[in-house]
Amino acid sequence: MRVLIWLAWLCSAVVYAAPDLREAQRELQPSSLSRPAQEAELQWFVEAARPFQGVQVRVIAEHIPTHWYEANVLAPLFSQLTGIRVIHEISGEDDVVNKLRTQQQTGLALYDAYISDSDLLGQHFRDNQVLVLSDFIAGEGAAVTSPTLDLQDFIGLPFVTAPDGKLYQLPDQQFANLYWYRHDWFARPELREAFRQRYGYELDVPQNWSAYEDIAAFFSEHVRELDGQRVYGHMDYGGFDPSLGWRLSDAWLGMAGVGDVGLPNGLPVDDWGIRVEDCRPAGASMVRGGALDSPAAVYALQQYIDWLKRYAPAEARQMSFNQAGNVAARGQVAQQIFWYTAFTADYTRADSPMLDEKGEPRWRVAPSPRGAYWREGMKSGYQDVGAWTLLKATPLRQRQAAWLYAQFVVSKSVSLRKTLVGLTPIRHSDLQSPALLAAAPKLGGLVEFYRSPAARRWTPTGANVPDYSGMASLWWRQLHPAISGQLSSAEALHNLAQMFDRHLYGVGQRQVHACAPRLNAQQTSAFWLKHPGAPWPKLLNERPPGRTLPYAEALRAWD
Amino acid sequence: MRGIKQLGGYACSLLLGWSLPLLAAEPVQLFAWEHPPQLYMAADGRAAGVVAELTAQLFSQVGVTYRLSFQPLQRALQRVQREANSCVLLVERQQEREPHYAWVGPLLVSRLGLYARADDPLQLNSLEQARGLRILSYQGSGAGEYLHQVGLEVIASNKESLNLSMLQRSRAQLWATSSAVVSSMRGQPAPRLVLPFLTLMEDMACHPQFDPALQQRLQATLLQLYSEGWVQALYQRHGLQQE
Repeated sequence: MRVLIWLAWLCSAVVYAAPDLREAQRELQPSSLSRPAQEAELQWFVEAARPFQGVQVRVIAEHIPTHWYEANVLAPLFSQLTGIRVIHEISGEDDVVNKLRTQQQTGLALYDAYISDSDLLGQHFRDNQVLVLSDFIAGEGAAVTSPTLDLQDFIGLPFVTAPDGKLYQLPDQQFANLYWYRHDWFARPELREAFRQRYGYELDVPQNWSAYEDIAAFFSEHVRELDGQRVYGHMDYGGFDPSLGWRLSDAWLGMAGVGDVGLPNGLPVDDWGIRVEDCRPAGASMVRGGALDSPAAVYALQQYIDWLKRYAPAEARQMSFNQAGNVAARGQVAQQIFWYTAFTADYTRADSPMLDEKGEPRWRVAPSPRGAYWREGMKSGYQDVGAWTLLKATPLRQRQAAWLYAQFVVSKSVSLRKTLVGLTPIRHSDLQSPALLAAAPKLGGLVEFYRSPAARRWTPTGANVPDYSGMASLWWRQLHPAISGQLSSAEALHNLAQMFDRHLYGVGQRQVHACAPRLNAQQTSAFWLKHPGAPWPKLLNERPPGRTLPYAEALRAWD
Repeated sequence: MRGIKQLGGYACSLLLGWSLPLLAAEPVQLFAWEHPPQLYMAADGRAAGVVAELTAQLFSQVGVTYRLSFQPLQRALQRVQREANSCVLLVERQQEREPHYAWVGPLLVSRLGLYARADDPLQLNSLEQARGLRILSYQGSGAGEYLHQVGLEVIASNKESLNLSMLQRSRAQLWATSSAVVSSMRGQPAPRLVLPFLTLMEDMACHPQFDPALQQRLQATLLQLYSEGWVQALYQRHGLQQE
């Protein structure tokens, strides 16, 4: 009998060698946890995973440095610790969205979990297919939920909580869209003097779109050359590509002031121009009470097009998000109004021309300037929250094993190290850590942004959009004709608003939910323009005087 | 596969033999490229494989006829841009391709992995660990393109059987392919899966001005075939596991 027990022990040891916590701890430094606390948390994962040894889970995420670190380092480490094999795939964001949609529509078991943008939250809580994490944690997932998960430590928790108060996703990484500029160029006395002479105010951080436009014209048309090379006052992209949709749907209209006051999104009209009545989407066109074809939206689109054509390098018109992402890092661009902090790693590499002799950034990020229709209390910009998303239809055992892995890669044991690699912070405890504070001078204002209360004013798409994956493509398909000159901005937005209304109607027929879309009856546009709030009537002057603030003062907007 | 008759050799058209009351005026032209074992031209000249059967069922259920001809992938992609009522079988739906086609899919889902010789003790935990190793891949399969973008060393060939042979002769240490391809080969002993790395969905990519109403009907019918279990049953009939 003893021999049998010994043989059984030997066999299990061959299949699953005892994990080496010290090796994991060597990789996972620095951590916001003390060594003993980190060891205890890692030990919890080892114990909780025992019933799942030999299970294989397959997950997918978009290709940004944070997720490559998870796939190449954290997934193997987790497998070593727990005996759960993780296949962590990396693909394009559009592919992640397509696969999630395909799994929901066909029932094919493609993945056990997705890291998918919280922009789909409005769809998830209405479609009843995504696992409600708060229910799962309290029920079938209780035994596999870490006692040190500490949900309140996640800075993006409001963005993954639906209007029903339930948690649908768990943040894995976050990045924002901020104003980016060449701090070193803005500090040159001869440029400051020339700008003051021409425009009558200081060359500093623009507070409104008028100042942004002045600075763009200054560099592209007046300065033109610096240190022997052609320079530009603006960078953007406008190619016929799905990423053109993100350029416009990621809060560009919100920054212009198209929607209503309200956080995380305008209420009753959000930054997609969709009006909700209670929680029901009621229309995007002005005749239904929406603002997608309103004067403010036309202003937002036209400004984007004018700047792209007049101030950006000519090739930008054909570029996509990925092609344009690190163009400013080559050293010819003075400022960029719509800059994703996900690219920070490209701008802080040791060999980057964006670093000075001391290895510090020549650039800074600052609060984004606002359009003429923007008012206090509106959202200030866009924030992307890539979040763990599980489906109800996934078998329980797979769900539980995948949930263990999801928690591992966002655990306090892991999170700070991951943040320093990918620069996409998710936890308050990491933002308060000495390690991140020490890194701050190298990151051009990114840490200051995330440590400020303003991080809550840069928000994702929000819960008004009931079918993000079905509606996202309408943005780029309908608005590109305005960029190519086939249609005016007003015509293209009119078409888009009509398409949105039709789509909302169709979704309303399909979704069985108290918050499913129900279109308002048609009124005249004039009726809604006289109504308080969005859609806002056309301003007599859409170009108020330019206004700038020194960097230090501009940052106070984040206090 | 029902109702498809070969009219000519390679690169020649096939015309469906049936006619239905809801027929469009012109049959849809499908340009297929050989993608064995899921889609290939059999010895008798007919299109064969699970994708060929799924396509036949899909068009039959929608009530539209089609002609199918085999072409190299690049030529097929160019032709479909010129001919309004045409589509390519099969194309990976990537962001860069998205605006240039009207899509119906997925018609095929493949699990891709890195395979080594059965007697090779190589262990990999991540793609990063494959850096510096030579990886064989089938041209146009999606696997090689992905690995190349990741910065790995990829050797492309136009036949999977050649890849297997090169692997067995240690001309490269890894082969990037799907489990369906590996099972269909007669290599003995069979190569060993070292690292699964990507799930690939492939669609029918049609001319951008392809009739939108027909596209929607094809897409809706395809989803119905999945949800009713017809596709799963098809795979079972072929002794395949749906991946």
